[in-house]
Amino acid sequence: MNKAATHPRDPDARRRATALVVAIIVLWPLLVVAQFNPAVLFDAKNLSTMGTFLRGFVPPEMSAEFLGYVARATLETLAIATTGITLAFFVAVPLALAVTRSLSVSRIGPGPGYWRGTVLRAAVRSLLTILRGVPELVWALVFVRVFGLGPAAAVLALAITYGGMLGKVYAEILESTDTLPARALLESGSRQGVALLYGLLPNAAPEIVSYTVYRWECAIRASVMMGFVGAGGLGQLMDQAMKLLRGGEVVTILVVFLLLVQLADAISARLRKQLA
Amino acid sequence: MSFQLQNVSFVHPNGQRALSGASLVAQHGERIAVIGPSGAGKTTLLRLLASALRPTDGRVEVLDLRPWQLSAGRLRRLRSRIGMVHQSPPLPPRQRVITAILAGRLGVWPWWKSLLSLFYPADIAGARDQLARLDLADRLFDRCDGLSGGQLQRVGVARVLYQRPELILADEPVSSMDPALANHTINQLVTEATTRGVTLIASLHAVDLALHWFPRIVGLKAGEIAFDLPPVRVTEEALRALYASESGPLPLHGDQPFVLPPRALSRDSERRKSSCS
Amino acid sequence: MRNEPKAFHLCLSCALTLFVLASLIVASFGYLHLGLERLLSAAAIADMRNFIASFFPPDISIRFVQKIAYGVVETLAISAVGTLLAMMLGLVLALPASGRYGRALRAATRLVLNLLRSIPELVWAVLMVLAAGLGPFAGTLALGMHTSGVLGRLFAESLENAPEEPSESLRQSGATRSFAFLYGTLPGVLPQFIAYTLYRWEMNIRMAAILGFVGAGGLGQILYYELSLLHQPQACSVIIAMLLLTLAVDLISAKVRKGLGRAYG
Repeated sequence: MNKAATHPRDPDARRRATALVVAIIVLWPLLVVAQFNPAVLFDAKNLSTMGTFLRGFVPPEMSAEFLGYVARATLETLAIATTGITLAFFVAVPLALAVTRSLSVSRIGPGPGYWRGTVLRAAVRSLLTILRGVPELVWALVFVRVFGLGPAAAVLALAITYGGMLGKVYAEILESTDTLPARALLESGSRQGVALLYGLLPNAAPEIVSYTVYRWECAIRASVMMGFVGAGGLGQLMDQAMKLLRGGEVVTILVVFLLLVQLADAISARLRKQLA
Repeated sequence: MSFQLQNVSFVHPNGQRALSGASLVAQHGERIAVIGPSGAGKTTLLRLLASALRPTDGRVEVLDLRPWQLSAGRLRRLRSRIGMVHQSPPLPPRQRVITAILAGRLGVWPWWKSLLSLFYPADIAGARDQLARLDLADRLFDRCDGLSGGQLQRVGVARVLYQRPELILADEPVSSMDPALANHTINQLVTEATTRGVTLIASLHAVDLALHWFPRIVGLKAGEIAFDLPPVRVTEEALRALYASESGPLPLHGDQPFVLPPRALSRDSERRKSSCS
Repeated sequence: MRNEPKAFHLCLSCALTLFVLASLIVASFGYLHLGLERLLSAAAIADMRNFIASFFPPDISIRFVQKIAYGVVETLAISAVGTLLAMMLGLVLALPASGRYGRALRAATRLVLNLLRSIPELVWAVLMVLAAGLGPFAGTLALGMHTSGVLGRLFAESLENAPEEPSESLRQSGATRSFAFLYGTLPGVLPQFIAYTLYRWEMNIRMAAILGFVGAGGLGQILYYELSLLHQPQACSVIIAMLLLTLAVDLISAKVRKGLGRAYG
């Protein structure tokens, strides 16, 4: 009798076993490089530091003086996010207009500007990629060296990085909305500005506004994070509290931060409904 | 006794009455066919026997136990002795046929065996043998989403055969198969029941299959048992009365209305396609 | 039929909202006392130009490139192990969070998941540096904690929307709840889980690169170190490496997504 008939084997088994072996071969060095060692969490010194810190959580710091600092820092964070997004908007708009193909006269038909237009768009697209590619925290770290501690570093970092993000998305929105009205205007000889205002914007505006408000929400979180490298706001306050192991202050700031995020979410939802 | 329903009723949460005052007794090893128009309550009846549904009224006893008076552990063990073939096989599309079949004995296997079988099937020969009875052995290692409706139904039957239950409940097990295949599959179920001396109760839409294979026919209409007779005593009038349309809309099967042909009850009924998920 | 260009008109409440927004924006600028005028003075601009010039040319000596290469590997390791931890923890939390074990447990686990994901990765990193010391392990834990909240919630929603017939029918034939889940539900939701996990891994690579600013290893720690010592050329190399890493990940993921799309489509 055929052995295979009495003891059939799973045809997939070899492939799965190989995959498992490969996974282990790849995972093991990764664990080593990441210095994965749970025992470290139970090391005496770490435990005592963590213990002191966590014990400070209760009660949370609620003195009037401290709450005053927190309130000022919160306002500063909000201001950073708002100014940052505004500057980013002014960076993004010209770049988006340069990149979008919906307003390109040269693409409608053959003409002298065709290659020039393509090269320009490619260059601006690369610029946008670079602006987006470097995290805002890196810019913030560098700018703190230039402008000193404080919100200026964060605002400029946001302007650069978020300018790149907004620019890319604005261009995508302008290209994906109905381009017929704009094209019709361009073909009948209107200037590009007119084609933009009357052809593209009416359809694209709601989406553009919606995305910008969403980015503002992200900017608030980013502003808090940039505070950890000295760029002001709630983040800087939290960083100082953590360095001094003041658990009570950290809890208060954390709670305020969570509330701030909720508030921003609510405002953004409201705004988007209203303006769009 | 294998099961006993005493004056059992079931009302859906939305108030719809699926079964009223049904009483039915079966001994070990009996083969029963349940026939009736759609909406008659055949599926409800089977699900009550499977202890998937709790009766709103009346008393259900299965394998000499009252399911709703058992502890969780005992209920689980009782359920592993009951096998149900579903009309629309509940098989995950990306799962392989072999795993789907072996899952039939999850109620019986120890936990380590169930766990290991996820990585390497624990009993390939056993699953293959059951699938071979349904002429599908060559698809043992295929994925469920590569099978047709009829093939999936056969996998569902194979799973129950692999489970080796003491009570087999089959809810329209051959609705997606052509007549020859349907006949062959019912044959397998009946053989299983007679060989192992276990009870089989199947709801069928093809009246000819029911009359041919089962020594006891239960007619269900509008939630009530209309008759409970051996095939020779099931008259054409009784069948016509069973399937006659009531004041409500005509019962539909798929996209074709079921119309009782005047004489040709021995012809097969409509073919219905069912999808996998 | 020609599309008529729409006229651009504003409603009254929109105009009011815009006015309020504009004044808030101006107020923000005022509150910060950014002193942009000071920044744009001639001396300041000259200073800035010198500062930017000091970054170039970037240091591409073999020794330093090797150091950066190790930083890249460390960053990838942090993101990979962290995301893997997150997938496991997320799955464990997603089961009760999908309501399989009752409403009370569902509410409790959802609260935990929300807490995990609301705390930003950087804050987690600072906490983990306290708990585990400086180095990549802190970064791994930080990503693991934050991402488990994100993945756990996505997994729970997937589980809630998954069809229950497969697992119900297995329970019907006597299987325990756990095995009914493993054999009946998991095969259906696993592809979606893996897709979510891979997507978060991509985002986590970017995160892992900057967690080093608070001491959690990777390229970020190298950058922070070099900048503190005012080694601008070295810092420039690290920034370029970060940029290249992001671009490479974007390219590879686009390719993989196209390939996977065919397999899963």
